[in-house]
Amino acid sequence: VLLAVLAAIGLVAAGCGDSDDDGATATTIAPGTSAAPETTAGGAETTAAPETTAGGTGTTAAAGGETGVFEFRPLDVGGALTKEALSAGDIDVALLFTSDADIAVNDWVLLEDDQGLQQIENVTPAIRTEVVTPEIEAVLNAVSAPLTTAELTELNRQVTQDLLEPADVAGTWLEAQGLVPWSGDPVEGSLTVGSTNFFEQEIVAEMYSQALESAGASIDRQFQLGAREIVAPALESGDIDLTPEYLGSYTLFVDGTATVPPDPQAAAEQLRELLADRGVTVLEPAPAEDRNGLVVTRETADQFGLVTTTDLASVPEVLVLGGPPECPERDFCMIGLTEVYGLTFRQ
Amino acid sequence: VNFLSDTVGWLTTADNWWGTFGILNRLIEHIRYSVAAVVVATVIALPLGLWLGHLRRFGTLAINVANLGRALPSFAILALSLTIFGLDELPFAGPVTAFVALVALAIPPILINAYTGMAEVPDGVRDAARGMGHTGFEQVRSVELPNALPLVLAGIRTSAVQVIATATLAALVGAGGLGRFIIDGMAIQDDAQLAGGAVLVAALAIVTELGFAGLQRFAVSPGVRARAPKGAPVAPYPS
Repeated sequence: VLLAVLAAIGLVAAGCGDSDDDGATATTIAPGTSAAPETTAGGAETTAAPETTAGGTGTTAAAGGETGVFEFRPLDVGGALTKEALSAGDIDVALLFTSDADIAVNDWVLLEDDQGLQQIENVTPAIRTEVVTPEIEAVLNAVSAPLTTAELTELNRQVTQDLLEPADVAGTWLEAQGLVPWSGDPVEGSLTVGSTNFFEQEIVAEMYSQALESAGASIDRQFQLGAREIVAPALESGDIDLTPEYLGSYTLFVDGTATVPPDPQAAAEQLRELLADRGVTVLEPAPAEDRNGLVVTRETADQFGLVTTTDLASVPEVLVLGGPPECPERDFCMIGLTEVYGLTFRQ
Repeated sequence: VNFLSDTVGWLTTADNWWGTFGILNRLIEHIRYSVAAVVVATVIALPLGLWLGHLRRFGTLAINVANLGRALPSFAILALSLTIFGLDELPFAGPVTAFVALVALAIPPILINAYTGMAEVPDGVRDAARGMGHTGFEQVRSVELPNALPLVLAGIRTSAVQVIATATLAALVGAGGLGRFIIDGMAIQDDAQLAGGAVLVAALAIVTELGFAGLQRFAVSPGVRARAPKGAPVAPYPS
């Protein structure tokens, strides 16, 4: 009996001893240690990596004068986690969407994709062939023509930062462009407009909807439906008639083996052929794009003189790339960065 | 059937076990995160639970406060602490965010069981101990604690199993552990990897459960065990 008691007390005591240490470490390390090299190193990817400490940005000198060496940190799909990690210095480079307003808001630097890794992603109306008329086409092409990436990014900012409603943002923009009230040929009948589940889609879907309404159509809005996996089939089945799409991603969704031409017109033409037997077509692509892009903080860009993605290959320190968990398997991320830009990813 | 054999195939491929991204390293990370959380939770909750149980006071208050850890989803704690700690990592315990969420999850079972175990030692047994001239501390050490031990250990055991199942959260904030396979498997639609990760987490939880069961058999006095040997005294006396 005594033995058991002793064992129990011993157990408790041992527990106390052990974790008093842990507790102390926790309180000293926890708050505000932004990205000391050990903290990155203690993480998922780098337990085996030899680390030499260098202050500041969470970077470490690459061994043997190597340049362009990266570690990958799996985070989220251009979302809050990746952006939080970039601003906190936990990662040095983030894979984000190029029309993300947070890039400008935080004064981050979008690295130019100078070797053309990322496919083009022009915003393009996808519409059922059955419902499209020359009048509808005229309205939607008129909306797409003045929509640039800068405009789209600013509209995104108004929604995510100024917390304005996508419908108001779209309406104000249409009026500023002189598209509403519509002065062209009137549109008759009714259309169902759909969108996937992020703000940019809802803004553009609102533009289509309000411009068509101004031209006389009656619109049923089915926004925030979910991912492309939901919206694209809904378009083919006629549950919706019209939705904003992105040239490159939509092409690869329809045909995973396709190559997306760098010219929007050619890409749209190829996509029309791919879509022909599905009862869907795409209209004129807008100049506005929402691609995948690599983003760094202003400090990192200044420190290493980064302007283009190619510049990353000559960085003499190990940088941490944060992006979606699927990055290692994707052409637009780790595979392309290795093959096209010659970056090395530490295992 | 294909799915099952794919999963078994993934688990039995040697290449999947080695290296930084391998199962072995992820398993060690997972155990590290879990052990840290359970040990820290034990240090916080066990003395408090034992002491309050001995006093037989403030039980409702302590239990309710501890239960907040249960009521708040670990995912919510993770998300909340993310705004404070970002992706900072502790040397052993993994990301601070996951650590906070796991400790909050681990405390309630330990605290509640320690309190209940101590508070429910029969009055007669406590009186007898006092009658034999035990001081308060002697009474705790040699009478109340041995009696409470099965419940106390059960609390730590429950907490450990829950923590192991939940430590997969660390992967959500970019860290390691077995959750990595689940998150990454989902992202690249690799169902074998996803299911393999889940199987490994479940296996680790079961092994932990069995380990604690063994510890309980070893540590708990025969007089307190339900299956007491014939003729053994009902309550333990110091011998």
